[in-house]
Parts: sequence; structure tokens; C-alpha cells
Amino acid sequence: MLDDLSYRIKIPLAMSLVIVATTAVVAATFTWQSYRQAHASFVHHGEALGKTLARTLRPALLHDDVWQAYEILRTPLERPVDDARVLILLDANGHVFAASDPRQYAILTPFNAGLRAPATPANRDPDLKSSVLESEDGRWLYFSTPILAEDGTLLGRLLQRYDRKLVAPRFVDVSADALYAALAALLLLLPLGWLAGKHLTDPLVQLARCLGRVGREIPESIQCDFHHGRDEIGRLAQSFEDMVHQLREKQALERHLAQSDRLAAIGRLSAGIAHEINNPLGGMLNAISNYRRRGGSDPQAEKTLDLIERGLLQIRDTVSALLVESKIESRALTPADLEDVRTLVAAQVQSKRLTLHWRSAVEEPLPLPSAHVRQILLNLLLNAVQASPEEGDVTCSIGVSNVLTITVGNAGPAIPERRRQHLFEPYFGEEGGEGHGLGLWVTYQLVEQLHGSISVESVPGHTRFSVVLPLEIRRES
Amino acid sequence: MDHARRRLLSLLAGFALPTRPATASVDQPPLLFGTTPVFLDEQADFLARWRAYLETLLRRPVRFVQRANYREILDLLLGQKLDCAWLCGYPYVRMKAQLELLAVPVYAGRPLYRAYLIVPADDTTTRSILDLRGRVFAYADPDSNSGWLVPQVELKRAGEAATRFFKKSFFTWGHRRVIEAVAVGLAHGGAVDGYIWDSLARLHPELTNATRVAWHSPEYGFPPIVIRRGTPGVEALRHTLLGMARTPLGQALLARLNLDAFTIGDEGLYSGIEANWRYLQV
Repeated sequence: MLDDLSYRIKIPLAMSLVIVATTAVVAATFTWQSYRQAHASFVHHGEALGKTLARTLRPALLHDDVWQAYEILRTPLERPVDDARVLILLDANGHVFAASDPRQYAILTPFNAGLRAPATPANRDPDLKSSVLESEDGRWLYFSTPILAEDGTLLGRLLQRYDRKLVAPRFVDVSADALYAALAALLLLLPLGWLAGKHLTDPLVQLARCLGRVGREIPESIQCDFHHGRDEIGRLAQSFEDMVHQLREKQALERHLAQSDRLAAIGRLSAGIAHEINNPLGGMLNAISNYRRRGGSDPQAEKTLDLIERGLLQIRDTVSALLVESKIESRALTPADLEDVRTLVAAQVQSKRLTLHWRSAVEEPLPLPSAHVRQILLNLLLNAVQASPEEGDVTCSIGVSNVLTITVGNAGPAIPERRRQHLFEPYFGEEGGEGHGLGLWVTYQLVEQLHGSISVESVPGHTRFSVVLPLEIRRES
Repeated sequence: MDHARRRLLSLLAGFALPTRPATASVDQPPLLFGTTPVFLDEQADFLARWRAYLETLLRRPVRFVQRANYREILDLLLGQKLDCAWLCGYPYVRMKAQLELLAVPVYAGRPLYRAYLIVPADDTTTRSILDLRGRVFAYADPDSNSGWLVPQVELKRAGEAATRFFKKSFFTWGHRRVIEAVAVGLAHGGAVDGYIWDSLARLHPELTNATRVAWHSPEYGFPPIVIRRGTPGVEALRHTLLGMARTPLGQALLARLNLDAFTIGDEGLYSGIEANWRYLQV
């Protein structure tokens, strides 16, 4: 059951338990120490009083003055008769000479309370030394002080009998003090301990929560803000972030590969279909041409042939666009080619009252096939113009380093996610847009043929296509 | 504040007036007045007032002298270290050749008192000192009639040897302390001045209530104030003492003593004590 408990509870709980245990131990130690001190001071006080009284009691014993002895015995007592504190003076025979409570200890009765030495080691000559004794039942504490003549003869013995309960009130006071102090400490420490424990476990809990999301959610959406320390949790968090990052890359790679594979398959498929269509198509067009060359057809037939020929030509256009035949031209790309494209789109730019921000760094011929690059740039620009809202901005920037970089942006709405996944595939606009939707497919095919890459960023109000073409074309075998 | 203080000062001055008699008297030697516990001589406030009273009327300083027991006072008096002393009748009859009566207190209308045998209040059976055989007994003072002589005589009359009759006996050197010793149970019985016991019963009933008067003696002459025979110039003192009952201040002081007056005593008052003494000596 403890194993199922969250660390969010377990660690603060453990800290609280440690605090409670520590406080209890400290309080208990303090109480015990104080009790010992109180007891020691009690004994010390009793012995000191015994010595003082023994000196003043000596003449009374010597002179057999019972009354004087009684008055001396009574002096240190707050009340004349106090069962908790009784002073008894014994004569040399161990009989009561006088006592502060004469009714309990009558004169000349033998004193036999049956005392034993509690903790102190046995005295060699107990009669001539002060000692602490206790009654058989442990209720009374006795301080025994001998009263000696000048030559050391034992004249008598002063016994101070104290109720052990006299020490108890001090013990209770001390215990109460310790208890209050402990409670105050707990009141202060427990919230602190709980907070500290929570502070320690929060990153762990957060990490656990984030870990739990892996597998259930796509890695891109897993965003966890960890503290970055060098402690174990920090390192764990770092590893986790690395893992998520790698997952993300893997997923992107997979998606990219899938897209490339799909595009390649589509390319092969469409090429195959185009070839299959082109052969009969060429035959059909040749047949119409031969038929015309022979002449003699009636106008009605001629009209029908025209209709068929236009249809066939449209099929051929579409198919050839799908095929993206690589017509590698030897002519290199010149700045004029780029300017041509700019001129070509100028009319459409004007019709939508757009602003075209044009920036080209190409100043000399580049080792790239001009037709391909012209087609790529034209397609991108036409797309941008089409996507851009009225009176919007369209940007085109062409940079050169060891690669040619073409970036075309517009301020249109973002490309829908559903569409973006199949952005570069042949697309036949069901929404009735212009063109046949093959522009980006063609562009993609051209970029692939030039061993370049194409990417897109699209957020609302800003969509940007980037094409990177290497200038050194690696001829594949 | 200032007004109140002045009033207080004037009040004090009124009190102080008798304590500082005419300057001429300061030159005279002080009257040395020995006291013993035959009366409650531990009340310092009363002694200061009585002293002021006496000084005013005698026009000379008065000093009360207290000692631990009767014997010391008696020795001082006989040794001419005291002018007079309030003693017990027992030392007086013994030293009658050297001492004479100055004044005798009047208690309950007569110059007589009794000795009491007291026991703890929880002892309800004791009727006589003879019931206390083998017990612990408290005497007041070996020079006291009521606190020593009377019980000695009682025992002797009964044929008992006082030295062996009790298991233990001791002196407390004062009647009041005999009462205390019996009250707390230190002694099972005690011999005490009946006048002291009665006076304490009025002042501190909680003390006397812890004791019970088991027996009381016949009447004896009250402890007198005595001088050495032939001491000159004692008339003024005698006159002052005898006159106390006639002045309001003197009456107030006598009331504190629980006495009626001082009177000229007669030697015959003490014949009972003397007889006891003689009996004990036989």
C-alpha cells in the first residue's frame, strides 16, 4: 500500500515523521536531563541543609536539650507538620531524640524504617558519612547526616525524610515546558518540512506526469518545463528531454521518408500511366493528322475531329505536366532568366494589386539548368500570388552561396494541416481553384531532379516556401 | 501629600512624647528591669509601650533585660546587675533573705494563680500527672513553681521518683513553649503557668486548643516583681506600678498583660510555694 502512495505524499510524510521523531527525542532527552539535574540539585540541597543543621544540633544533643533540637529541626520547614518533609534527630543508639513531626516519631522510640542505599556504592563506614537512602517501598528519600563530637565520636544522626513526590512537581513542570517547546517547534517545522518535501518531489512528479504522456500523445505536443540542475532529477529530466527530442526527430524523419516514398511512388505511377497514355494518345493524334492530310472530309466530320483533337491535346498537356519530363538543357541560369519570370508574373501581381518585394543576389550565370529553375520560381510565385489576399505583400528573395536559395512568401491564410500532409502530391482541386493542382508536384519533382530540397512554413498570415538547390550537381551514375 | 505627612508626623510626635521624657532625666542611670517568661515577655511591642510608660512617669530611662532562663535573671539580680526583676515565686522564697517584694500582680481579682497540667487535646483520659508514667514530659524551667516545682511535689506525694517516673523529661525554658511542645506532641504532658495558658487561650486559641488542661493545682502567690533587700529609691517605681490601674494608659497596658493591677504583696502569699519547696527538700 505504501508502494502505491505518491512520492508527493511519501516524502513530505517521511520528512514530517523524521521531524516528529527528532522533536520527540530532543524533548525526551531534555526532560530526562532536566529531571536528573533537578534530582541532583534536590540531593545537593538536602545534603547542604543536613550539614548546616548537624552543626547547630550538636550542642542540643550534647546538652540533652530536646526543645532546642526540636526548634532547630522545625526551623527550615515551612509548615510545623508537613508529611512531605520530616526532619528526625536520632541519638547515638538510633532512638529518636526529637523530630519535626513528634507524633509520627515519638521521642526515644527506636527508628527502624528499614532503609537501604539506593544507587550509591556501599560506604565502608556508613555511620560516619553522609548518605542518601531510600525507604523499602521507595516512597521516601532520606538524607542521613552524622552528628559528630569534636573527637569524631558519633553523637547522633540527622535524618531528612522527603517525599519523592517533591521532585515530581519539578519534573512535571519541566515536562510541560518541554512539551510546549516541542509543540511550538513542530508547529514551525512541520509546515516547513512539508513544503521542503513538496519542493523536492515536485520535479519528480512533473517528470512522471510527462513520462506518462509519452506513447499516448505525439512527441511534438509534449512540452515539459523542467528545472535544469545537475542533480539526479535534473539529469533524468535532461535525458527525458533528449529522448523526446529524438522521438520527435524520428517521427519527423519517418514522416519525411513516408512522404518521399509516397511521392516517389506517385511519380513512378504517374510516369507509367503517362507513358501508357502517351503511346495510344500519339497514335490517335497521328491518325487525326493523317486523316486531315488526305483531306476530303465533310465539314461535319471536320468539326468532330477538331473536338476530338482538342480533347486529346488537353489530355497530352495534362499528362506531360504530370510526367515532368527532365529536359536537361545545357544552358546555364542567367540573371535574365530570373528577370523573365518576374516579368511573367507582373501582370497577375497587378491584377490583384499586390506588392512584390523582389531581391535577387544572382549577378552571373550559375551552373543550373535555366528551364528548371525558371519553372520552379514561376510555380512558387504563381502559388504565392494566388494564395495572397488582395493588396497583400508577396516576397521573393534569391540568395547565392554554395547553394541557390529561393524563398517565396505571402501573407495568405495558413495551409490547412490536412492539406499540408499531401502538399507536394498531385492535387486536383475539388474546391474549384485555378489550375490543375500540379504546380507543387511539378516543383517538387524538379527540385528532386536537381538534388535540392523544398520546405514550407505556414502560420496564419505568413506562408513561406524555401527551395535550396546545390550548385554542384552530382551526376548520378 | 505634604499635608498628610505633616499629620502623620504630628501623630507620631504625640506617641513619641512619653518615650522621650525631660532632658534632665537622661543623665540618670537607667532602671534595669529583668523579666522572665512568667508573663508573655516576648511581645516587643508591648514592652516598648510599657517602657515608654514607665520612663515618662519615672523620668529616667528604663531597660528591660531578658535572659534564656530564670536562673540567669536571678543571678543578675543578686549580683546587683539588675534593679528589679519579675520572677517566679519559687526563686523568691528560696532567696527570701536577699529579696523583697516590690509589687504583686492582681490576676482575676486576686494576686494568685494556679499551675496546670496539660496534655495533648487528643489525650482525653489523663486526669493526673500519675497517668503519665513512662511518657515524655515537658517542664518550663527548673526555677519555676508551676513549671517544675508543683509536678515534682505531686510526684513525691504519690511516692514516685521524678527522675525515673517519666521515660524522658526536658525543659523548654518557657511556659509558652511547654504548651507548644505538648500541642505538637513532642511531649505527652507538660507543667505550665495557668495564667500564661489562660492568656494565650485568649490571644492564640489555636495553640491552646491543641492541648487540654488535665489537672490544675491549688492557688499560689502570683509571680512577683522583686528587688534586693534594702535597694534605695524604689518607691517611685513601686508607686508607678501600683498606680497603673488608675491611669487609662496603665489600664490599657494591664489589659495587654491580662492583669487587673499591681498591688503591695505580702510574704504570706508565697507560703504555699515555700511549703512545697521544703517538702521537696526533706
